[in-house]
Amino acid sequence: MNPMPKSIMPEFWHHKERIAGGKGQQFIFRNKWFLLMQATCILTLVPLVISAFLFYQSNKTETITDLVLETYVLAKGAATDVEIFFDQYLSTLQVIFSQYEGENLKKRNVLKKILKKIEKTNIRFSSLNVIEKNGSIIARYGKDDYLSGHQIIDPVQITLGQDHFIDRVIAKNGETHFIVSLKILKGTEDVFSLAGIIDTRSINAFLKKLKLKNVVDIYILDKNGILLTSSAYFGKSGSKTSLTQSNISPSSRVIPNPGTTKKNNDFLFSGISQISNTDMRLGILMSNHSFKVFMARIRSHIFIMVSLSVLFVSIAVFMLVTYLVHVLYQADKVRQVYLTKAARSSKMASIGQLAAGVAHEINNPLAIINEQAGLLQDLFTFLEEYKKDTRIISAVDSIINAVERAGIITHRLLGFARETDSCVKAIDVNETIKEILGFVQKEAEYKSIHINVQVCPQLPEIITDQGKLQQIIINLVNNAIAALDEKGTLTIKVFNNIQNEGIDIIVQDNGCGISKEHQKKIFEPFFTTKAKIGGTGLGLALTYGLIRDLRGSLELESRAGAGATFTISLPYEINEEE
Amino acid sequence: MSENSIKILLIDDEEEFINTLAQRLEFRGYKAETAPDGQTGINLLAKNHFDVAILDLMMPGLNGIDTLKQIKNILPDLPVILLTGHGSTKAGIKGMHLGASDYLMKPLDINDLITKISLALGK
Repeated sequence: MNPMPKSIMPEFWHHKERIAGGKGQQFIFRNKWFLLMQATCILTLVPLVISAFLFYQSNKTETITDLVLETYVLAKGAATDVEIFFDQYLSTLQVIFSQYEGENLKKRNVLKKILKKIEKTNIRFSSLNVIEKNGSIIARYGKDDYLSGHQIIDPVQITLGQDHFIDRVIAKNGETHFIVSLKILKGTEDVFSLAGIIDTRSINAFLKKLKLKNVVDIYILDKNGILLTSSAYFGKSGSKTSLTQSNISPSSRVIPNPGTTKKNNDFLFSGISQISNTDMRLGILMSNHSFKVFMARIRSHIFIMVSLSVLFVSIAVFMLVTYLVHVLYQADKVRQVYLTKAARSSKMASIGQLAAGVAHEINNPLAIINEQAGLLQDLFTFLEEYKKDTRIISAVDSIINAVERAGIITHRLLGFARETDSCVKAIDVNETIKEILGFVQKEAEYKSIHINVQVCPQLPEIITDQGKLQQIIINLVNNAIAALDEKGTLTIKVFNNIQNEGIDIIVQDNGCGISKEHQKKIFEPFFTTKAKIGGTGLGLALTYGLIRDLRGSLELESRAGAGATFTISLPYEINEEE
Repeated sequence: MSENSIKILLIDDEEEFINTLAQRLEFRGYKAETAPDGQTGINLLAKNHFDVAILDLMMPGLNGIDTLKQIKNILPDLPVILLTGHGSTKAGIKGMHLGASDYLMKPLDINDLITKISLALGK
């Protein structure tokens, strides 16, 4: 699958890479792109995801801390409410004692009268009891009879205990109720207690009325973890909770996620608070609903934030990596051009050496042929008996003409060999053009191409590198010949451009021309329209580079189907040291 | 000095070339002798009188430039025309700096050679 849409596909994407050294591409750019994308994404996105995770965890911890604090405050407040509840009952007993001090509280009818009177208030004693110091009930009146004859109070609490106490009491039927007792001392010996029994149902009703926010359960338990009121989560009164002893020690505390009998409540907070002046504790269970809602909101925010960051980072990374690889690709292309240029120079130098050797070796036999033919010519010229035979003289002239032609070729080869070396010197451009045309004359003749040369008679010599200039003109002339059909015209003009302190060489053809689209790319390396016939796409790129080397410029004017005109502008002189 | 009295020494390892050239010069009234290497040429020049020497630059053993130096040591006024098959003007110009009168490139035109001989002899 191609991960890159066509519209934004960089130039290097479909480049046919070669890893081999030398002139080949150094890198597989698409692989480099993938590697850089992966590395950059890992380096940027992994910290982002870790940060998001840490942010989430931090929020979770903070929220739990807030919830723990809230649970603690609510448990403490609820315990205080229960203390006030018991205090109201204790206060009632004190009022009874002060109002009925003169009457004999140990009489049942007195207790009945008192209880009837209390029923008009909010205080709901299920019975009033007068208890002797040995713990036995000596008088009682009330709805409940499950305490009759039952020793409900430890005698020590009456004789040696505090003035009052609040405690649980287990009835004969096993139910748990609460007792509020006031110690009464008449004279030095008469000690008894006035105790009121509070039915558990009253306590449960009171606890329900508290309506604490987010509290799903509220209950009272003793120091052993036994429920004294019913609990929605831990069970009925008298049940043993799953809370450990350390969790119900007499101080306010919060236990996250306590084990409860109800399922599907995987996360609750249990707040336990001591009820003052008793050995009972008040417990609450906080709902995790608000916690869940809040954490869901945090998760949603983090998800949006991370998604947007990933999107922006990915776009930025994509653009940056694509740009960097493109720059690398361009630099490698330039390197490749220089390597190709160097290889070509080296090849040209080798060809030059070879040409020089060949030319020299041919020159000597040519000189012999020339002299032998010359001798024959002399014989037929100087000796009277042969003078009249024009056929032989004509044949010898032909040999000498052929030798002359061969001599011109060897001199040209030697000239080429010399000019493969970089050498800045004074050059007659008209002469150079004539020499180059000598090379392409035959090819032009084969294609019936007319070559029109318009040299400038007063052209000054220019100081430049002859080898490079030759290569420039040869490349442009070869391109023009390639573009021309049979009977086309190649025009070469030379001007003295005094204004620009240089000369202009125009190479013009009336061939197929170059489209506007191709004109933009024609000087780029490896751009070729002749790939099928062996074009390398380096000719014009090298030509452009060579003209730049000679401190010149190259301009192109062309239209598809209307020929092309290349104008080379060269300065009169370049500094060799440049 | 008429062509008949001008004596030329041709020095080149290409004997066929100098022998033929010598014959052609003789057709034109010059007296020409040949030497197949530099040392033989120097010896001939030392023993005999020549008006002009024609010397190839590329020769095995004693090359053209060294031969020229030795000729100029013993006969500083003798005009020497250099021949080069290398096509390079550099060697010819170097030879002219060492005292050669002129240079010609192979294959040569006999008329050019005669012109240069005449110029070398101040004609």
